[in-house]
Formats: sequence, C-alpha cells, structure tokens
Amino acid sequence: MTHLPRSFQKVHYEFRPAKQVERRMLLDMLQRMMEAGFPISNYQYTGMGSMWFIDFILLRRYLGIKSMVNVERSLEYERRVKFNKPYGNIEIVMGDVSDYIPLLSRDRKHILWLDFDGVIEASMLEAIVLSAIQLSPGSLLLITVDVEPPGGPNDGPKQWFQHFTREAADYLGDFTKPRRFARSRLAEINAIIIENAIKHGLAGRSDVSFSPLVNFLYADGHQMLSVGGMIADDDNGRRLSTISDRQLPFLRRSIVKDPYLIKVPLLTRKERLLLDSAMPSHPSWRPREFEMKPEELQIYREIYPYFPAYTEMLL
Amino acid sequence: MITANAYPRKNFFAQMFTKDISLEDCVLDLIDNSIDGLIKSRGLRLSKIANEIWIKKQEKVRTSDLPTIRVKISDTGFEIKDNCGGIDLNDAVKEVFNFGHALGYKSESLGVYGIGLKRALFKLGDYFEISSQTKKNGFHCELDVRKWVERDDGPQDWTIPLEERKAAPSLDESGTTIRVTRLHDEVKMRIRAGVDTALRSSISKTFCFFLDRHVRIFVNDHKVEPSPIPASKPANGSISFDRFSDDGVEIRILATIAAQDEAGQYDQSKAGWYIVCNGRAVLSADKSDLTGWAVAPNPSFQPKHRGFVGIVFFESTNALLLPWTTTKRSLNRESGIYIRTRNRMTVAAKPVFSFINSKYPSDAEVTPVERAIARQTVSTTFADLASPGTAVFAIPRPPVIIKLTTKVQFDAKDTDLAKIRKHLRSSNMSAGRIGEHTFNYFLKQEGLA
Repeated sequence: MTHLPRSFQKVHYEFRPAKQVERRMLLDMLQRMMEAGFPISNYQYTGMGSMWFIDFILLRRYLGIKSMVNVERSLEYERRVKFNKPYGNIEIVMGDVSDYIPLLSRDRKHILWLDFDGVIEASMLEAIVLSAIQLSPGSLLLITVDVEPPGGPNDGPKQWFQHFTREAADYLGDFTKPRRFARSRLAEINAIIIENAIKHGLAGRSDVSFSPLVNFLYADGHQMLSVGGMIADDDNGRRLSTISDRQLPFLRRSIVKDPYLIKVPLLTRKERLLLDSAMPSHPSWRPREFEMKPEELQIYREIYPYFPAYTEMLL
Repeated sequence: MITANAYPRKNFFAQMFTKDISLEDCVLDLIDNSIDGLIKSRGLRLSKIANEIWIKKQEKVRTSDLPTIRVKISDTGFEIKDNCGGIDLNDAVKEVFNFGHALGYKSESLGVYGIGLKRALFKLGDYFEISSQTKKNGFHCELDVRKWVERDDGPQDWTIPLEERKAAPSLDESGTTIRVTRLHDEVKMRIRAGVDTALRSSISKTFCFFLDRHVRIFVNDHKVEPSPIPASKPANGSISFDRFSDDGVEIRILATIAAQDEAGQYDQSKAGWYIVCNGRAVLSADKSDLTGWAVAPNPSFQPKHRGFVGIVFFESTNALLLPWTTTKRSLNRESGIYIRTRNRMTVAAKPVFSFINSKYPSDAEVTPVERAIARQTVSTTFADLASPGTAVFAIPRPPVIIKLTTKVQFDAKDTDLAKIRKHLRSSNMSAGRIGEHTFNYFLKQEGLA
C-alpha cells in the first residue's frame, strides 16, 4: 500500500474551480441524457469521492440518484471517510477499486467514475479494462488521470517513455519511441492509452461499443485529463445522437482528439455579477466597467452556467 | 468459360492433415466416437451429461455395469473396442466415411467435424478393419490405405466397400472394434517410447467427467481413473461464479482457490484454467495466454498462483458452436464466444488473484491472515460450488489492524557495535537495543522526536 500523501491531503477539494466546472458540465450532460430517455436516477453511481463526496451530493440533489458507492483505498482513513459521507445510504467500500468492479451488477446500469489522482499506472489500466468488461450496456465510464510528466523534475522524454512502457506497454499503440514523448503530447498519449484499454476490455462484446462523450483537460494545480463515454448498444447510440453538440458545446465524440480545455478566469465577485447580468451576451459585447481580455470573455461566455461560487459562511 | 479443377486429393487426407494432430489426440477422437455411440444407443444427451456435474445428489453408479472402451496399443498394431452401441449401417453408408459433414449438420456429439475417425486411421497405419454391430444391423470393412490412395481419378474412387453383418443380440454386446495394422514408423517409435502412459494421462484428464460415471476406459488392460479438478470452496466465503448464454452456447465460469493436499501443499501442475466443452476437458490446468494469463490485466502465471483453479464449461446442443479447434485440444482464438468468455474469466479471477496477492505481501515480516484462511478450504462437488446467480470470490477477513510501526533492520560492523557498547559503558547491550538507541538519539538530536 502506498504511503505517499493522498491528493486530499495536499489539495483542498472544495476549492478546485476547474474540477467543479467539470462536475457541473457532467451534471448538465446527465440531465440532457435523462431528457433523451436514459433513466439516470435509477443508475448506481460509483465514485472515488475521498472525504468530500462533492459529486455524490450533486448527483443525489440534482439527478435523484439513490444508489451510491464510494470506494476508498486508504484503509487508515476508514472512519474518517464514513464520518464524512453526506447521506446515510452511501455504501463505503474500503479497498482497491479493481476489487470492487467485479461486484458491479450486470443487471443494472452504472455511472462509474474512476477519478484517479495520479499519473497512469498499471493498476489504473486494470480497473479500466475490468470496467469495460463488466459494465452493462447504457452504463457510463469516466476516467480522470494526472497528465503531468511522471517521475522527477529532471526527467525527460526518455524517462517518461520508460514509465509508460513499464506501466502501459500493451496500450501504447504507435508510441514506441522515446522521441515521441514530448511534453506537449503527454495528454494525448494518456488518452490513447485509456482508449486502448477500453477497447481491450470491450473486445468480443459485439453488442456494444464505446461512445465517447467527454474529453476535458484542465488544471487547478496539476494538469488533469477526464475522458468518458457510454458502453452503448444500438438503442443507446440512437438516443445519444439526439443530444446535440449545440446544447452541450463541451461534448466530444473522441476521447483522444480535440479535448475541451476548461479554463476558469480569475474574476472578483463584483466582476462576475456584472458579467452574469449580461449573459448570454452577443459575441461583440464587452464590459465597459473594467478591462477583460476578449479570449477570457469568450471562455466566460461558455462556462458561466457552470462557474462555481465560493463563499464563507460564518457559523 | 474456363473452369479450374477444385477436387480434393486423397493424398492430402492421407499425408497432410494427419500432421497437425498427435497420436494421443487421434486416440481421443476415437474415444469421442465411442462415447457418441453410447449417447446414440442409450439416448443420452451430452448437454445433460454436462448438467449432471451440477446436480447436488449424484446417483451412485456401479462402475462394473458401465459400458467399456478398451484400447490396446503396441508396435504391432492398434485396437479400440467398445460396447457403446455401435455404428448404424445406414450412417456408415451415408455419413461416417465422408470427410466432413454436410452444410446444416447439427449435433451435440463429441465427434463434431466428421474427420476424427479418418484422420486417426490414416495417422496410425496403412491397413484398417472396422466391425460394428448395433441392435438393428451391423457391418464390416477393411481397407488397404495405400492402394486406396493410389486410385484417385474421380468420385467413383471415393468409396469404401462394406459387408453387411448381423445385428448384436443385446445392447451390452453392441459396439465397434477398430484395428489398425502396418503401423507407420513414426507411430511405432512413439509406442516403443512409451506413449501408453501419456495416453492414460490424457484420457484421465480429457474424459474426467465421463469416467466411472458413464463409461470405463482401459489402455492395455489398465483401467484409467478420472483425474479430478482440485476446486475447493472457502470454509467461510464464496467462489466466483458466472453464468450466461451466448449464441446458442451455455457458459459457466468458476474461479476459486484450489484444495490443498494432506501436507497443506498445492499441486502446481493442477493449477490454472480448465476448459470443458460438452463434458470433454479441452484444456487442463492451462497457464498460457490462451486462457488469459499474461494478457493484460491478468498476471502471468507464477508459483504463487499455484493455489488458483478456474473452470469454464461450454455446453451446446450444436457442438459446432463450441469454441474448440478441430483437434478439440485447444480453443479457437478467433471465436467470438471465446473472446467474450475470456474477458469474463478475467473478472471472475480478479478477486482470487487479489486474495492470492494478499497472501504474499511484499513485506516479508508479515504473516498474512490470508494464509490461514486459505488453509480453511473445503474440497467439494461442483454442485456445491455453483451459485443460482453471479457470485464473486470473497472471504470475510477479520478487521484490519493498521500497522503503525515498521521493523528497521540493517547490517552493522561488529567493530562499530563494540565501540558503541564501550562508549555507553554497556558491554552486554544487544545489537537490537543499540539500533533503537541510535535511532532515538537521531530523532532527539534533530528535533524530530
């Protein structure tokens, strides 16, 4: 068992604005899926919510998902995790998520979010493959990984190549030479590895295929990649096609190409109030009261419905 | 329009397609045919025989009453003789000596592809005789294979003469005898090297679900005993069990830890995956990538996995749908059923691998409670292993005691230890106490205590 500090010990999970934008976008997507006929509230949500359970709260409150499981691998925090669960009927499973996946019922649909907080390792890919084998048609699989360079600050493409060869040799595809492991391509390499792991798990499942839905790249500190989609049969595929990209501009039909970059402009509360009062605005609109770069304003236009607001409550 | 000839050549069947199969596998094919005769004459269903494995209360069988298959093999000749019901004359005339079956042929028999008998005869030698009697009719044929192969000018040469014989007086006397003489040199070499031992071993594994339940088999007058699969159930826990249908095939997957012998040891030769098609074991104790070992995310087989046993049963009323190869000793890697099943085997095996890994932690100081749990297993029947629905291997563990200390050990020079003892004026201080003292000294000096 690793004794490295867990991410919840390093980063305050409640104050990661880009992550929260991602959650809110996923929530929006799931709401549209409900409208398209997917019985999302009857799905089981399995997450790795750590101490904060933020995704659990959102899914319960806004989608009515009742069946929920939080998998936590740090056995020494069992009491703390159980203490922090927001709803009494969230099942807490202590252990590796790969050990839990075989227990997922094939008789129901799932939302499984493999929200890893580190760089890709073989154990994560094992969980992805098992998920693709096990999840029933109509289930959603989301995967989040850290796409920063593995290893130390003095490492380079050769060391990164060694890391990925050691951890993900079966899924590297065409990336067989160190010179292809440029810093700028690491996110893409991670996505390809994940895609190949999913394909490996789906091999032989002739009734379903993986329908990509999201491909997020964001950084609240470390750069993170979140990809996901549905294990979809033909009927699921038809329903998904009714959800248009215009309704959800962050939707992606590939988990490798063209990720949606979540950037959260730094704005004061007063600036946000003014901007919100003008939304949705004409593309040429600018605030007269303060300076704002056009590209930042454009980002805000796209994400303002999902922008988190943090307040202090004096209790 | 010009047309090209696409005739089959006898020489191909006599010389070529015998090369892809071993002598033992040929004999197994002949035994398959005997068992098929048993099924036809006694109205038994193979899919029911496979299901019998799961019945909780197995009927007691008087083995001495069972039909027999007797194989005799020496460097002067080969013979297989059974009283399993015989081959009907009509079948012999229309089907048995064809190479392959017609389109649309469907049967749950072990003889699937219509080539086992011919391939075995050609593999063994240059002259064969077949005598068979059912309760309705009988026949006899003899063939000089070399002379028969030489006549290959047209469809009229692709026949084998038969003589009609009278029917058997009773069911117990109905059966088939096949003799092959003028054995090929390479077959004689194998026989002289002792192939009968390997043959008995193959038969005991391949037909382990038939032996002493539906048939007795003898090789050179030695009775073959079934080789049992050492599946066990945790005394307090469950095995992994998965059951599903796929394209006309019923599949059941079990994964569990093996039973230990009286000395508390696992037999590594019996660890791995067993694949059974319509009751016939196709693979036994397989540790290769064919059953998923070393195929991500499965581990490669290592000695610590000697406690793993997994079994997959494929059953179908149409044996052509089963994912076996024509030799019935391997699996067709391109079969969709095989690929889908192998993925589900991965899921079934995962909790067993996790348990095995926890028995052998990287910290050698730990004596895991898992090892004690693994000793508390119960050898049992397949009926007890089966579950009404999908189940996952699980053993309740006692509450985890989180270790807050770690043993620190290192080698130190004796001269340095002596210096420290002298410095501390404690000549009897043990090496362990010195280690503790120096560790705590560092913590205090550096303000870390």
